[in-house]
Amino acid sequence: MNKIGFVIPWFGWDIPGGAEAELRGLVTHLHDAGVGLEILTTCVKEFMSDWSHNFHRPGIVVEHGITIRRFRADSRNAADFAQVNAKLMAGRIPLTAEEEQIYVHEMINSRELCHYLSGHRQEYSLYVFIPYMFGTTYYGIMQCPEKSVLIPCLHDESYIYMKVFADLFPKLRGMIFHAYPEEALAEKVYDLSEVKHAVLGEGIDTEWQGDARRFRDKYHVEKPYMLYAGRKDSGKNVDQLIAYYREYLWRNGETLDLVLLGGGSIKLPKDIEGHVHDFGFVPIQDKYDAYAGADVFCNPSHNESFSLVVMESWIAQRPVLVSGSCAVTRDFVRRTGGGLYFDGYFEFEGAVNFLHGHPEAAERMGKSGRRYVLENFSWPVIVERYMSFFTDICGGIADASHHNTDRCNTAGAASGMQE
Amino acid sequence: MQAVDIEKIMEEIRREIKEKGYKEEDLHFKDIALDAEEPSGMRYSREDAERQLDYLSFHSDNPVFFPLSGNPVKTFVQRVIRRIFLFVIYPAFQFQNKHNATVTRFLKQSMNYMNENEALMEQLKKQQEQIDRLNEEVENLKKRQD
Repeated sequence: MNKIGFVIPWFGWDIPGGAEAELRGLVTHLHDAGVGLEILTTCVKEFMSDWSHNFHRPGIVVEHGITIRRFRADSRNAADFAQVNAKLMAGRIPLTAEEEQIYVHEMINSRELCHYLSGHRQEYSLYVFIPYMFGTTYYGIMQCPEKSVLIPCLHDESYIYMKVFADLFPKLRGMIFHAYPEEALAEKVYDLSEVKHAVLGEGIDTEWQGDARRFRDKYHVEKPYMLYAGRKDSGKNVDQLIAYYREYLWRNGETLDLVLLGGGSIKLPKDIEGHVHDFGFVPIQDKYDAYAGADVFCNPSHNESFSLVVMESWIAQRPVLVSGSCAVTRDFVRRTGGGLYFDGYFEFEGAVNFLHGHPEAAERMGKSGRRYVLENFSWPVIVERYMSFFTDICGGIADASHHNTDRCNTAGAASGMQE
Repeated sequence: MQAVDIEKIMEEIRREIKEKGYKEEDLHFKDIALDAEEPSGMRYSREDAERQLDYLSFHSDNPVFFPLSGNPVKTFVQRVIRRIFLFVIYPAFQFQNKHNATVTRFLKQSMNYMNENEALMEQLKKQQEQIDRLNEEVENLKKRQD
């Protein structure tokens, strides 16, 4: 079997972005497992850059043992794109067919990349595209949908309802999701009857241990505490957590502190200042220690696509409390039995009191969550699942030793791109 | 290990809420607005600022006219009207685009300056911590000598 080409609009080892980070982890672990693969991308630096500015040199480089082929991005009409994109960002304002064409045509694209995908299809068993909404994905899939697998990273947002995607995605060979609610959303929006699809999850680092005592000693937290880790902005619903916590203290007495970790800021009411410990960013080992020491970890966000922090809390064997309005985290809690969820204050209070009053059940929840994470999202499991999915689709996995033959051959890449 | 029945616990919690007759009106702090950071608010957030700057870079150079689509007769009329007014609009657009580019460049410079300052502040913080530690050690040594 031939190698697998992973196609992403931009690639770098230290660029921001969820899909970017996921691909980095995935290709690194697949490569380590001996899967032959390449990254096929544009010369654009990252999402925040000008999408027609070729920051990297076109050609081939090998970094961390992985071949990266970069192709020049096309020039584009950013103003036309912005006009259509503004409509999409404003909500579900329907686009005309012409506007949808403007969207896919005037966003990041690379004719050279498409040309390469089409001309070299025999050399690859599969092309794996991530995420769904970019021109490199749309036009890339068009080159050979029968060899294309998509990791869409879907959210319920206006872009997923575009007709161009609804017309194209049923032709895909395969689709990979992170969570079951994401798969359900895709099945609702697209016709996937002919597309092999599966929920494979996301790989996370599970090889760490937290030390509760170390956290308490270092940060001088003595009381039992509820933990929140993440950005402290209203998009994450932290203000609701603070309001609920304040009410909880008023109604139940000062039995539980609240520890906040992560960036952003929130102005706390004076009367609870002594009970809320906002430590901001802390070293990663301290975060792991904080998970281990928490009575319960709370993620009040309504809109999560995976929730790494919930998984981390489970690795530390602590139960979680999540918003009942978030389909993904609520689904994880139900599947694992690793915690409780809440709709409204009184359920929040009931859930906190239950976890606080039933330490044995809370411990069982934490252990159950940990088992689920280890069984589903540890890297060896994720690698195995991906390999099995790819094997199912095309009957064999490429061997890494057969590839990476074009090391640092920029001229070679340039000639390849001309085909 | 016996799995915990989450839904059973949730049902019990809901039954208890019902039995105790809790109502939203009983809550004390529900109407008190907290000052959580708005994702697109005015308080400084590096992430938001970078996003805004990206938006500005993206939209600083605008074309005089956006493409027309739809009814051919209508678009023809619109095109004619645009042509007529082009001599008035074009210089103003050029001026505006130049202004946008200058503002964006200045903001990018400010952002770079802020990033440099942040790094310096971080360094200062570490140095201050080191000084505090050393002072503490000096105090301890003095005490021991006494």
